[in-house]
Amino acid sequence: MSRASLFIALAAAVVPTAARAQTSAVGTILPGVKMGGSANVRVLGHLPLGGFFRVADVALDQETGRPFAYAAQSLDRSGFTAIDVTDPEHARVLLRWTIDHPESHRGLGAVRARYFRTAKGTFLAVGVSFDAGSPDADLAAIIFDVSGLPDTSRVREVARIRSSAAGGVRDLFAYKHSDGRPLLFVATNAAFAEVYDLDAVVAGRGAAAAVARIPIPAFGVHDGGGDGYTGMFVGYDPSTGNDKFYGAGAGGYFVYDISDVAKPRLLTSIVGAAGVLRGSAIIPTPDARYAVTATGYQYSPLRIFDLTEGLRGIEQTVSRPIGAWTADWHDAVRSADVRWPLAFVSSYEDGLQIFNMVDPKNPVTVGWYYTCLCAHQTGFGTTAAPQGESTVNGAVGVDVRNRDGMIAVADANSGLWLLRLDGFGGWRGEDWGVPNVSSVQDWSRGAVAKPVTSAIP
Amino acid sequence: MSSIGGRLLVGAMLACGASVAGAQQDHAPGVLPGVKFGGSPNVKVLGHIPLGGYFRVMDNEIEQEPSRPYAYISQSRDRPGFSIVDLHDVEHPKLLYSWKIQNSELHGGTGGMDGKYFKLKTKTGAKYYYVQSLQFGGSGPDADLGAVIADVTNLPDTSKIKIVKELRYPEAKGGYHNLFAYKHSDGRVLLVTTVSAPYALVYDMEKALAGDKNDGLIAKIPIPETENTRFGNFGYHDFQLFYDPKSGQDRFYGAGRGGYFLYDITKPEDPKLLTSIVGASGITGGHTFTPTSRQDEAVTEAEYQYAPLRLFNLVDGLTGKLQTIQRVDGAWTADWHDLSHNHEVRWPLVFVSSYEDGLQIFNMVDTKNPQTVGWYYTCQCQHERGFGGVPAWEGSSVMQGAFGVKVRDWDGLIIISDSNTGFWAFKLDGWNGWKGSDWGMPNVSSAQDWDRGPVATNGGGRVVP
Repeated sequence: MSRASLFIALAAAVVPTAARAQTSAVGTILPGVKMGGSANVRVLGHLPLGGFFRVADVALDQETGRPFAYAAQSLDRSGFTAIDVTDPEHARVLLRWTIDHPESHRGLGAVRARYFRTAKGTFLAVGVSFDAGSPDADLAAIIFDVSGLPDTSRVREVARIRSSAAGGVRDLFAYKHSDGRPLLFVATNAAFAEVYDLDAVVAGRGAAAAVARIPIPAFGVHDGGGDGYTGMFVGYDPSTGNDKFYGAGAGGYFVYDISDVAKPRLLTSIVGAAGVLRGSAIIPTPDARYAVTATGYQYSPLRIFDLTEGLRGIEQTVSRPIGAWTADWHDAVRSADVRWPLAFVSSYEDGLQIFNMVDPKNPVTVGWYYTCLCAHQTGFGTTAAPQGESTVNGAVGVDVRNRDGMIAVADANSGLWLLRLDGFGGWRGEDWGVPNVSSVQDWSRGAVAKPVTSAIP
Repeated sequence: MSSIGGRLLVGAMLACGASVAGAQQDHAPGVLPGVKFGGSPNVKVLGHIPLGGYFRVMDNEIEQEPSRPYAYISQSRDRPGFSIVDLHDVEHPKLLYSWKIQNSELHGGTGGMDGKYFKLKTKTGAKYYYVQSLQFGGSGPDADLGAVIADVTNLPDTSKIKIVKELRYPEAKGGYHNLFAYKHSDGRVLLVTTVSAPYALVYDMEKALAGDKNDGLIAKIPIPETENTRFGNFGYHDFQLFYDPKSGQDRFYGAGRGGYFLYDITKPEDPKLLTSIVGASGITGGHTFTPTSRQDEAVTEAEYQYAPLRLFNLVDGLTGKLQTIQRVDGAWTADWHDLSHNHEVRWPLVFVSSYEDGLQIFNMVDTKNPQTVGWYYTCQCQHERGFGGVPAWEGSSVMQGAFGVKVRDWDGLIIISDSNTGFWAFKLDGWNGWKGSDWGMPNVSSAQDWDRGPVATNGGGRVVP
């Protein structure tokens, strides 16, 4: 044995002992594949939905009496699947809808699922993304009336929203504005988010449904990622009486006052933070003070910013995170759903992750379940050749049902997962001394000056 | 539930979280809460010299000849200059000499940043020099002073140390942040420096010391224009120069505005861009760019919290298959909450001055999966109490602790300059030095063969007369 190979062998032998104290230990069964979860996270149900990158997102219907989940499906299954979760341990597919001639479409397909309710019923908005040159390249979202579920014969398409920018949608957010209107925010490749009045959309009023645009400030980011928003959140801030739009995209993160949605007013931004050239998701805490942000690229943690000085005008922009979290620094993180003090994270290869941010400077992991069941760096490549070498793989969407705490995870590979965190039986803001603000909307009452959560069914 | 109830539940969940998260979270050994102490069993402390406390210390340098056991420490704040450490007895290193700029209290900026030694042949015999980079801000005394060169030939006799040359660059004030001394394959000893301009300056040291009217300035290496301007007026932040025996090229590895740039500088006066790393996720500017001895892989640093050292494979860029390299091959960090700084590659090991995480050593024999093999926490500091900019100095960043690292090839001695705690000397068990040929690699590292030059070092003919 040469001196070199002897040293390597010695080093390799020494490394595991020396390094173990520093590096994470992850439970594995298959070499290199993370399996299982923490003792406090239990799997309620699992439904495979077509394999590698056929699943892109999930939304849980929050209404009592509507135990349904909606999964956005992609590639050759471009469309959505409605799932009955009445008995989570025996979740079952109710309906599978696929776009006409999926084989002639190029692109990811359906990437977002958001449900909403109007006076006319309950609807599902499915955001789609087809490449330039493909049929429906200008299609952003398809709206379905799902009021009749579980009777699938009554599900029908009611509208299509088309975009001025080819390439389809990046994100959707359905929001009950404090002025009473149900609104849909649509992010595409365009340098703004388009806002639609959903009453007008479902009434078939076409172009009249577009009521506003939320611009993204120009920062000259030309990294091939487009000019627009990638992730959005809209929430009411009872302390100021403002409806606030949080957008992640080219240049960073931007917070607008959209109390008058037709006249959006930039309140503050997160720009110039080291390692953040582009934001992929932003989720505020219920009190609108902190923002959990994602960039979506490998090795980048979720960063937590305190918006206070930006909102007060003390700082022109916020650029220093106060805390950060990652499940495994080797990987990437998709997004989060905040239910203060917890954040439920769709963490790509690391599946469902849950951290506690009661101390935002030092968030602590409190639970996890590895849903991906995948080897490291075997994730998404391109729409033309989906199987690649990235860490974009696994858990791509998460939603929490507030009334009972059930957690749904959309995993790009393994499908829909229904899970429960021990001791988390649901979420109401007032139980935590914070406004009752989350991604979940009160479609009946809307955002009110002092939200009363008891009205939420 | 009341808000008190809520807090109780939070407390309960925190307690619960601590236990369940333990299996996943990193735990550094600690004596004082939140302060990392000690090291791995295979890293031994040989010596330690405090040098003035918080941010009085920056980068370091070590002489490579067995007969000259000296280390140099760049010093800052109220000690702007450098110190020399005597390593005749590595277990009892002693401070031999300190120099600082005259009227230091009138000077702004960060002071002494980086230093390199070099050797020149003269008619009267070999002479040894140490060049210290200096940064005194964009205005005030010596704003145009980039470096001083000290004649250190007669060490350990410090009475004969003399500043023999100042390098000033009034065209772009603010001094020189980093510099690199290189024995070129054409026989010249070159000094390359950063400057507050979109290029690096190349000096011929023999000319500079002979009184050349241009201070021996022979070339500028440009930095390509990109979208990113994170480093402001700086073009380059840092660079290293290496000879590539396979191609016969002298190569410049520059990190700075926009990313990382690799030039062929076989003719320094006519640098040719070979490839670059631009547009990789999370990288808007490069800090340090260090190739392996074979120069098919490079270790890079981006200098922001949470960023690991990223490893890139350069082959597709060098062969022209890719216009620029964007895909990370592998990555390493001591603790993802922190930041790693400078590094020295002695394949298969990489020695890292890892700020709050002190000396770290990782093995990159599998570049996709580098593994930590040793460490020692030199900072002894609390998290996020680091550099806050001048003149305040004390801030809340993670930039504190192990700033510079060097390895002495003939015996494997490792030195760290820690911004807070000073000079450290270490030994890694089983690591008794480095020669490229022992590892089937070209004998190429940051250490120079000042007598023979890089071609002879790698089995070629003697080019230096």
